[in-house]
Amino acid sequence: MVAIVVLLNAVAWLGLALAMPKHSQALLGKKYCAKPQLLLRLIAISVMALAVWLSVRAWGISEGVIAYTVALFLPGLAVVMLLSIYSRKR
Amino acid sequence: MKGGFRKSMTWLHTWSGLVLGWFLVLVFLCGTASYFRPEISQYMRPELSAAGEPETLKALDSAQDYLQREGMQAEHWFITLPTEREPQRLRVFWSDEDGRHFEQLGVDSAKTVQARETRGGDFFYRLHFDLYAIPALWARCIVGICAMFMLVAIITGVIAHRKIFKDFFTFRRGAHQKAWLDAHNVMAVFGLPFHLLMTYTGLVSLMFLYFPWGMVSEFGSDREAFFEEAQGYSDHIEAAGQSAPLARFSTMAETAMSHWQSETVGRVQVHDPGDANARVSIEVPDTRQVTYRAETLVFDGVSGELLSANPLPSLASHTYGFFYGLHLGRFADTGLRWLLFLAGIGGTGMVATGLILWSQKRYSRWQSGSGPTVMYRLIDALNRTVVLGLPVAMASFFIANRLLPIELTERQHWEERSFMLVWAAVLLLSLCYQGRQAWRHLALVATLGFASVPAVSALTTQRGMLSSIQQGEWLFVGMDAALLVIAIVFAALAWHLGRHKKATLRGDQP
Amino acid sequence: MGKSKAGRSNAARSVSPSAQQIAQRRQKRWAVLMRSLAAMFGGYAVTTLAVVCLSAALPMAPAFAVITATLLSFLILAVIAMWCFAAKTAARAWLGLLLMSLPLAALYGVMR
Repeated sequence: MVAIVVLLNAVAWLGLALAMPKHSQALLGKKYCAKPQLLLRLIAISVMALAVWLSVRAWGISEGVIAYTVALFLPGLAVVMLLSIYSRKR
Repeated sequence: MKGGFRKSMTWLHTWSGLVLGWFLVLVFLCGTASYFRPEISQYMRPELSAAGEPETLKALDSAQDYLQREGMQAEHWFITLPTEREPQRLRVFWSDEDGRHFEQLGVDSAKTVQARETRGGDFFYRLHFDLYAIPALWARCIVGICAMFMLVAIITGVIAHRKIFKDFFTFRRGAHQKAWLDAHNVMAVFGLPFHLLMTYTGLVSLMFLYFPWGMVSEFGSDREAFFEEAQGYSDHIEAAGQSAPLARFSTMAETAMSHWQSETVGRVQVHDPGDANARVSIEVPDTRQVTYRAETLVFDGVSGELLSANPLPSLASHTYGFFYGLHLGRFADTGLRWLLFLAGIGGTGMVATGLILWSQKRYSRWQSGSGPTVMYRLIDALNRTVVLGLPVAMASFFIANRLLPIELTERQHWEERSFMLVWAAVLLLSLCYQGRQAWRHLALVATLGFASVPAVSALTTQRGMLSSIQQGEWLFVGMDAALLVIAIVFAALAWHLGRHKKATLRGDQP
Repeated sequence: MGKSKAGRSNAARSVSPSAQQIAQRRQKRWAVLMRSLAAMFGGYAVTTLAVVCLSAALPMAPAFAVITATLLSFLILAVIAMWCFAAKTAARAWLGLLLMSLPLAALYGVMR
C-alpha cells in the first residue's frame, strides 16, 4: 500500500510540474499552451485525492493522513531528479 | 529599507542556520535512526535470536517468577514485553535500596540472559534529545530552542518565499553551488509537511518541560495531581502494609487481550508488589493506534480482578497523546516505518545540504581571492565534522560493538566513547585538512566504515549475513543489507564530490 | 585547496569595504540581534503569560485547560517571534511585547 500511495503521489507531482510553463517546455520542448494546463492540474489534484482516500482506507483516518503526508516527500524529490535529468539531455 | 530587511533576514538564516544546523543534523539523524531503535538494539546483541513470534503470556509468567524472586523489596516494577519487532526481548526494571536494576530475561526461563553489554538503539534515542555528557535538562533546552527556531523557519519560509512555489521543481544539476542550493530548497519544500509534523510534535513531546507554567499556576508543585487528572486515573493507592501474594499477571493480560481483541499487550507496571493493595496496570500496545498510551487497564494485584478501563478522558488528553505518539512513530507498520525513515534522511539532508552550501560558497570566494580567516576555517571544519563525521562515528559505534572484548568493564560506555572519540578525531582531522578534497575523503571513510560493519560482524559473531540467512534471522540480514546500502550511498556521494573537483579545475576557476 | 590561496588573503583585504559600510553593517546586525533577543526572551515571557491565562480561562477541567494551553504555546511563541521580525524597528518590537504583556498580566491578576 505504501508503494501505491508513493507512486500515485509521484504521478500527481509530475502532473503538477507539467502544468507549469517552465517545466513543461523543458520537458516536452513544445510551445506551452494554457488549456491542457488546467486539465493537468485537475487530474493531478484528483490523483492526490485518490492517494489520500486510499491511505485513509488502508490505515484509518489518523494514521492514513500521517502516512499520506509523509509519502509526499520522497516522490517529490524523485520527480525533481527526473525532471532535471530529462530536460538536461535535450 | 525593504531590501535591507530581506538582506538581514538572509543573514539571520545563514548564521543561525549554521549554529543550529550543527545540532539539527545530530537531532535529525539520531531521530531517524531511532525509528529502528528495537532493530538496532537487537542487531547489537548478536548472542540473542531475533526470530520467532512474541509469546506475551509465557514472557509475563517468566518475568513475574523472576521479579518475585529478586525484586520483592521494590515498590514499583516495570515489565517491557516482547513485540513483533523484538520477539525475544523481555526486559524488567525495578529499583530498591540497592539501586536501579535493569535485566533482560529469557522468554521461557525466568532467568537473565547473557548478551554483550551495549546500549544498542537506546544510544541514538537518547542522543536525539539528551545529547551527550551534559545534563539532560540543558540538552533538552538546547534541542528545544533548535526545534523552536526550526518551527519559526518553516512557517516564515512558507510566508516569505511564496515564490519558492514557482521554482517548485527546479533542480540545476551538476557540480556547482547552485545544485546544493536547489537540493537544499527542494528538500525543504517537499519535506515541509513532514518537517512541520516532526518539529511541532517533538516540541509537544517535551512541552511540560518547556512550558511548565500552566501546570504550575493551576496545580502548584503537585505534578502528580495534574498527571492523574490528565490521564483520568490513578494507577496506585496507599500501601496497606499487610502482605498478600500476587495474582498471576498472565491471567490479567488475557483479560486485557480480550478487552482490546489484540494478540499482545503493552507495558506492564506493578505498584506495591506483595502488598494487599498491589495494583497492576497494563497499557494498550503502541502498535494499535497513533495515540500514545491511549488506554490503560488497572487490575487488583491480589485478586486479579479488572478494576477499571481507562481510555484517555478528554479531547485535550487525546490530542496530546496523539502528537506524542506521532512523534514516536511506534504505530507504523513496516512499510510506513521505512517511509518515515527515508523522510527523516531527507530532513537530515535538508539541514546537511545547507551546511555544505555554506562551505561551498566560501570555497568559491576563497578561490577568487580572499583567503579563509581562522573563524571560517573552524566553521568549515565543524560543518564537515557534523555532516560526514557523524555517520563515520555511527559506523564506528557499530564496529566497536563487534570488536570490543565482551568482558571489558563498562563495556557499553566504551562503545559510546568510541563513537565520541572517533567523532573528535574527525574534527581534529578536519581542522588540519581542508577544502573540497577533504569532503570527498571523509565520504570515502564513511563508505569504508559502513561497508566494514557487516564484514566485521561476519568475522566476529555467528550472525554473518550467510549464516543469518541459513538460520532465518532476517533482522540481522536486513540490518547488514541496510548498512551496505548506506555504504553505497556514501560511495556515490564521494564519487559526486570527486566529479565536482574535476569540474572546478576545468571550468569554474577564474 | 583553501590552504594554497591563504597567502593571497592580504592582497584581498586591501579592497575590503569602507569604514562607513562596516559601521552600517554592524548597525544592521545589532538590530537583528536585538530582534532575536526580543523574539526569544520577550517571546518566551509573553507566551508564558498567555499560557497561564488560557490555563485559567479555558472553560474545561483544569488539567485539560493546561494541556490545551500548553499545546498552543509553541504556535503562540512562533507567531510572536515572527511578529518581532516583522515590526518596523527592533525598539517597536520590544514596545509591542510590553504592550501585549500588560493586559495579559492584568487578566491573570484578576483571575487569580
